[in-house]
Amino acid sequence: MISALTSMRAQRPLFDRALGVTRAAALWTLITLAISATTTAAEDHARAKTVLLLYGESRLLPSIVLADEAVRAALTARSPTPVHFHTEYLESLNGAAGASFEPELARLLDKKYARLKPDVIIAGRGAARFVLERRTAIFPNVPVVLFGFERAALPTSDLGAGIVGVFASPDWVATLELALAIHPDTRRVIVVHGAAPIDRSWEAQARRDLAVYGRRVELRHLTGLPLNTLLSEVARLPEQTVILVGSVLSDGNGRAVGALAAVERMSKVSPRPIYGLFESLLGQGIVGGRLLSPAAHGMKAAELARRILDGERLGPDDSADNVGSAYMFDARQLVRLGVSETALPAGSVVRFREPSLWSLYRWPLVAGLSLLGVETALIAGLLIERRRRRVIQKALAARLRFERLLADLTATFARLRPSEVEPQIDAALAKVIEVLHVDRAGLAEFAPDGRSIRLSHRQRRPGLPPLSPLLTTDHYPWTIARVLRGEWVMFSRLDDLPAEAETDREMFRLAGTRSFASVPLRVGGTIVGVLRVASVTSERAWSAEFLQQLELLSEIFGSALAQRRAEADRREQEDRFRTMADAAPVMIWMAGTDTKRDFFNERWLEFTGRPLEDELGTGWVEGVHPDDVERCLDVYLAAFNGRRTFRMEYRLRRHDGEYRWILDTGVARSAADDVFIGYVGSCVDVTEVRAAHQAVLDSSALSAAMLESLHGRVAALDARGTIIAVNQAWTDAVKDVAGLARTAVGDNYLDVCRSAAGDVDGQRALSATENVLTGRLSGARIEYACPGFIEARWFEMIVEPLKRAEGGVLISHVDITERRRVEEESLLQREELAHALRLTTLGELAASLSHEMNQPLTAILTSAQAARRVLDTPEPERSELVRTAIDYIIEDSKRAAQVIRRLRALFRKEHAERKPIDINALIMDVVGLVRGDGVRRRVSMRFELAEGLPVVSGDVVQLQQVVLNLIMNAMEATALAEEPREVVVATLQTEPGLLRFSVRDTGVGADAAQLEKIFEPFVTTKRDGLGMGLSISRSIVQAHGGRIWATRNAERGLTVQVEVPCEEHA
Amino acid sequence: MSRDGLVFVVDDDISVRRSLGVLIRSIGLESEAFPSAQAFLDHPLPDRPCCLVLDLRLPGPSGLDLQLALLKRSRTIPIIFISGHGDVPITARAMKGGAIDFLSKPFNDQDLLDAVQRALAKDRLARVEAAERAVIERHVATLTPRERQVMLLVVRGLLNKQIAGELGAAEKTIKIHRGRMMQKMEAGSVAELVRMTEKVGLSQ
Repeated sequence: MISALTSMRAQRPLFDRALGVTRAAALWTLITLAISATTTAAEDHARAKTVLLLYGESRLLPSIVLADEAVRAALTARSPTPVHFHTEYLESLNGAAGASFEPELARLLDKKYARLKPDVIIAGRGAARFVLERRTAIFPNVPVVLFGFERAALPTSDLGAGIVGVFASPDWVATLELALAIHPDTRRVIVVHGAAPIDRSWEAQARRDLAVYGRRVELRHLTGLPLNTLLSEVARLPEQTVILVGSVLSDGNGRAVGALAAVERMSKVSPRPIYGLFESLLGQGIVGGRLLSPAAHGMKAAELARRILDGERLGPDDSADNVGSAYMFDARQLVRLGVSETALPAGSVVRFREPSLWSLYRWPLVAGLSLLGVETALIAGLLIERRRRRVIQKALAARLRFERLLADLTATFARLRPSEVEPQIDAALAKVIEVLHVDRAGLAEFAPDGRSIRLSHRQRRPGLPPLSPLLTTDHYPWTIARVLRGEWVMFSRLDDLPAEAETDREMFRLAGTRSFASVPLRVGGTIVGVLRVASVTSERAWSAEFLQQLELLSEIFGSALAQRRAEADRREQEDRFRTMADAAPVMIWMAGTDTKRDFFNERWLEFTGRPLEDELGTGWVEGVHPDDVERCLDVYLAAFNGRRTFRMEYRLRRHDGEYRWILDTGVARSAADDVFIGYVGSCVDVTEVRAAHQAVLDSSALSAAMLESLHGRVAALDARGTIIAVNQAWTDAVKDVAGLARTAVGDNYLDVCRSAAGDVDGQRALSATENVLTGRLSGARIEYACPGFIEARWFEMIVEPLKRAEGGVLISHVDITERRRVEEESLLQREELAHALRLTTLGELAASLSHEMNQPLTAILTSAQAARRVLDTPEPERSELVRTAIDYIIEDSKRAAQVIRRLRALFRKEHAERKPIDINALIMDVVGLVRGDGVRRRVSMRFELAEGLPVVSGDVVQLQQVVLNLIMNAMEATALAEEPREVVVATLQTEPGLLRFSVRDTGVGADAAQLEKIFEPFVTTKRDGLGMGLSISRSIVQAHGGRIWATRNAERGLTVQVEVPCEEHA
Repeated sequence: MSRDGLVFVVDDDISVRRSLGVLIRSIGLESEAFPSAQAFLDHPLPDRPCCLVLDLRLPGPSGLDLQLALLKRSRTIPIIFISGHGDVPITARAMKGGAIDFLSKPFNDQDLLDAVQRALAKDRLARVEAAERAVIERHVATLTPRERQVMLLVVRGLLNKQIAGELGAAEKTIKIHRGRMMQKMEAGSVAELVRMTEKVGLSQ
């Protein structure tokens, strides 16, 4: 605000601004004119006007300047056409030598303006005479406007046509009157005049006009004094003097002064009021006066000139008088002289006012003040607002605290387990005291008999005396009655209590209660007591809102109490339960909603041998077998989540350290209102049961596995032949093979076989099965072929009785294709081997024989042939060759003989390999080769091998060959015979050093004559036999130092016996 | 029948060896006998027509093994197989290997001697051809690379002009090369030249 004011002070005063505005306006008009002038310049140029201004005074005279300015301005402003001004200053005409200049001047002007004929002449005072006299000569027919002086100054009163004037006379009288009016106690009036002729003429007029005032005041004219003298005179002027200034163009010394300078200097030397006649003097020291305005004159003159320029013909009658005079004052002078403006005549113009702060900075001040006002209002408003808000905030805070308390208490009680409610109630009451700013708070509950009321919970501010806990209805009958009705009871002062509450009041007073409020306490809809608060230290007014808050609190406490009661009930229930549980013969546990077990009965504790503390919570898990823990807990927790009954088996460690299998059954339990409250479970030791069960499982698993493992397709039939069980292989086979259709469990196998009656194998199967079922046979075995896709498959069907009370049979079909193949292969191999064995010896012999013989024979042949050739050709030098050839022949023949000899020697003792041989083992080795053969030929073999036989020294291969030979012969002989078909091989020691082995058959045998012959070579009954077998065998036996013979059996067949030497002892 | 042939006998049986020797000498040929394949291989072959009477069954490398070994040698010698066993597959192999004949013991003397004669004749021919080849090869070795090129083209039937074009030389130059080549090769005609190159396996 302050800064605004200071900034305003720096701005220009209003006066200047006004002037500036005028100047601006003037400028604007000038510009407009100029523009309009230029636009119309072309056309208007021809019609431009010329104005000649003639002044008789110095150019710089203020009045001249002002007037000139005004004239020009006025003329240019209002002229649509351009106006050209010419100005002449004729002051040289004044003075002594002035007249001599005049003709020269006139000629000059004449020449100058000969062609430049002005349209109008405006002449001032000093030039008036010149113009009037010389006009016709220099400016014929040019209208003239005279201005700026009084008529009296006219050279002639007869002006003539075309001359018009603007006259003004100095108004001495008005000015003096003015001065006298303003300064009523004036006693002296000094009138100052200059020395110039104009000054003198003015003086003359002044004397004339003011003469009459000589009577009123002392009147003195100071005329034509030198300036200094004048100044000293003026300086001496006493009080009550007024100075009037006229025209002071020059002083007594002839120096040009001017009224302005005179006034200026005079005002400096004297404090007396100075009054003047010219506007230009205002502000330079004069107080004021009826002042002439040269500007106004000028304007009027311009106006007339304008009219002339516009074409009007003006004459002397159009002249104007007393233009531009007004009462004008200098405000500063007025202030200096202590003149109030009210003393001034009406319509006075006061200039040079020192504008007041207000007038100067009116609008800023207004703005500033109003701003200040607004600010103040704002601050005030804010302050009020704040105070109001504080009040509200306090209230809100209080509300908030209460809400928080409610939320806090609700949350606290909600979270608590029922057993924790009790202590929390006290804590809650303490909070209530704090938040509600009371001194006591408490719950009171009715006893079951309804007669007394007990303060079940109470809290008080520290330092206050406690209340008695037990109160009966007698103590507070009125209160209790109202409470029972469910009403609020409250009073701010004891006196507020009504008359009927006398007893109550007394009790309250004794208790020190000043203010009291209570609301009913409800549990489950029934009023069970009150929530009460009391103020002891001071009286308290309870608002309705407060009571409502109490109600809300009461609800919370009520539900807390409800919880507690429920808890108490539950406890009681639990205790009853526990007693039962401990008596039970099974292990019992209980868990809360948090899955932690909180109860184990005696049985459990006995079993685990651990104290209860160790088992509680999750302690019991420690006893669970580590491998079972995870599974056990998974089931347990999953069941909990779903509140489902669960059963699980796990191992629990018994008190003796052994892990026993426990069957744990848990059931969810809920409270009366279906609220889930946990689990109860019972456990039994199922270790033995499990083991037994497992054993059963194992055994049946074993049986099943055994059944499944059976290679063949097995089916069990009952006594009637119905299939009662099959193994997987059977089932698979039924799928694969069409021939075994309709042989699943439940089908009758006998029917199946019957349906395949056309099939020989089917018949056999049927009879076999039936026989075994009926017990006629103790078992049956059938081999049959089954045509397959690629090859025939052989099966063996075995039927055996099922050893159980209900009877039945077990049928199995075994694929023996492979077995048969192997058997046949082995048979082939054996035959080949036998053949090979036979051939080997023989082959070797033969090969050896042929080769050994061939070489020498070839050589003999070649040599003989060579000899013959030589003999054929008559070349004597080759005759020697014959001899050579024959020599060779002889030698080679000998060699051939040697071969035969060697061959024989092969069979002699000394060439065979000798080794100790176990005859029984050797026989069994050979039998191993031929067994399959026997089976195939359906010849059974029997052995009667003596034990502990001594070894035989001989060639293994050779003896094997003998045994093989004998057995094969026996087989072949027997195969063709009828049952019984049997080959018996026997060994025994006949006497020390001699061992006999024999092969007996039940074949066709031979007659006596053949018995000897069969040992000869190339004797055979076989179709493609070589007949070498027995002869070779004989050779071998003999080579071993033994003998071989054959005998006929009593019943049928032959027995071939071989006796060889052996060791003395085994 | 010339008497310069030599018959080798390889058989592990002494009787056979000696009798064969007598037989061969009975017709005026010479023979040398060895008891095993290795013994024969160790013996250098003489510079006269020869052939080999070879028993299949020998100790160590068999007769066939010897045949194979001989085939690998530069000088192949005609073989007559004799055997006391007469295995057919072996016969086939023996014959495929280029044997003259295969005789089983005991064999007819005439059959053997005929085979010997054939064998010797074959060897004689082979020797002659070998000698010829050697000459030609000697001639070829004397050729300059250019002459050789020219020869190869000549035997393909190209004219001088063509040869010139093929080798990028002037015909005149080719002519000169050709003349020198024919001289060196001692070929009287292109046909002769062709036969020569064929003999040594140069003409493709």
